[in-house]
Amino acid sequence: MRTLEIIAIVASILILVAAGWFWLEQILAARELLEIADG
Amino acid sequence: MDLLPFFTWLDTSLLADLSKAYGGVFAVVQMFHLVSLAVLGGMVLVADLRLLGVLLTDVPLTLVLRETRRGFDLALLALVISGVFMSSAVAMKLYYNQMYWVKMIALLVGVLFVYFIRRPLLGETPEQLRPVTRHLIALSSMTTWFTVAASGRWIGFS
Amino acid sequence: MLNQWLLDLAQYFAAQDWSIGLHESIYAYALIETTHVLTLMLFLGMLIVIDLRMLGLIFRDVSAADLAARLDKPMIIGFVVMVITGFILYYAIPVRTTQSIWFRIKVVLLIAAGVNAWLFRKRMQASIHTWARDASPPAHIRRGAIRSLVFWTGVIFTGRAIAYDWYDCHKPLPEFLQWAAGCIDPSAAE
Repeated sequence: MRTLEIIAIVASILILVAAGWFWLEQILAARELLEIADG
Repeated sequence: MDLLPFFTWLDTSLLADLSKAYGGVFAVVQMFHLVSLAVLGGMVLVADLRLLGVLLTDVPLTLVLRETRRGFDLALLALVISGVFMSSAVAMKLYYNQMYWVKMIALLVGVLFVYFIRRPLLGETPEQLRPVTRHLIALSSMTTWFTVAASGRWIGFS
Repeated sequence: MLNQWLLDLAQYFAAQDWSIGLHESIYAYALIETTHVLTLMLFLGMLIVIDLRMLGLIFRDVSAADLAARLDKPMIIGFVVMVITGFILYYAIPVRTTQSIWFRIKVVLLIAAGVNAWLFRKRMQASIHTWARDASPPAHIRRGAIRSLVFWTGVIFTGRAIAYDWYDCHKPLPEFLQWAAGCIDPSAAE
């Protein structure tokens, strides 16, 4: 496998993990805020 | 890297004088930002869904990637130009806005990935790449541009 | 009069619990609106690629008929999401939306775009076997594509303008705009 292809795979996985973590954090923070608001 | 001096400068620059002068000017520039967003979306989705093998499967991959390249470049250029203009109007507010920095980081990642990894890799013989490579590139691409767009919209709500 | 009927309908919606709930929610309206704006990348993205093909500017080596047929499904999925989220946005703030001159122009442009698309498809289906593989389709097809792009650009522009209050009913407006936007004076004796 070419070096660039390996870089592409690793970078893609990192992007997916980072984005997934970020959006999950946003959803959890929002839920917490809603619980406080209802609460 | 402290960007506060840059944003402070931008906030009082000639560009800011223009963008802050009339709310109508800002609004029209933002409208062009949205049109460019639609074009970028089309180019990204057509290329990435083809890479995933779910759309235009009877059209050669090389052709789809080639045909969507210029539209992507032009749309991105228009988005950056209109984006800089709008940023100058509310520079200090943006500097302290978390979503703005999420958008800028995602944008930087997107641009670096496209021009230094994706284009060189897919440029020659994309059909010969492993399916897993093509799929990962497509998914990370759509995720990145979605994040840029979504965090961009959310700037207004935060 | 039509303006009164539209206002009555809007006030009927505005009084409903779901409308109030959406309007007052912390996140629901923002999420619906974000979905609406982001989905234009899918719906208008596909539409623009098709129109650019019909103008002979992109995918010139691919049959126009094939391209339109392939991109149709994701485009329609996007369109359905736009319509649903669009209606919810109207439903959440019905009175202000109904009396927004920009919203009214947007609806007119949507209808124009719809009529243009329907006529375009009819003409396309009638003749496409003759020009589908041509790099540049015939002039009347290209004109239809330009009209489509103009109408949809107008939809984006007016859609964005709704949020601005430059021409809201509480502002001093010329009589023509007051009528066009449906600003009915509730204190006017009938």
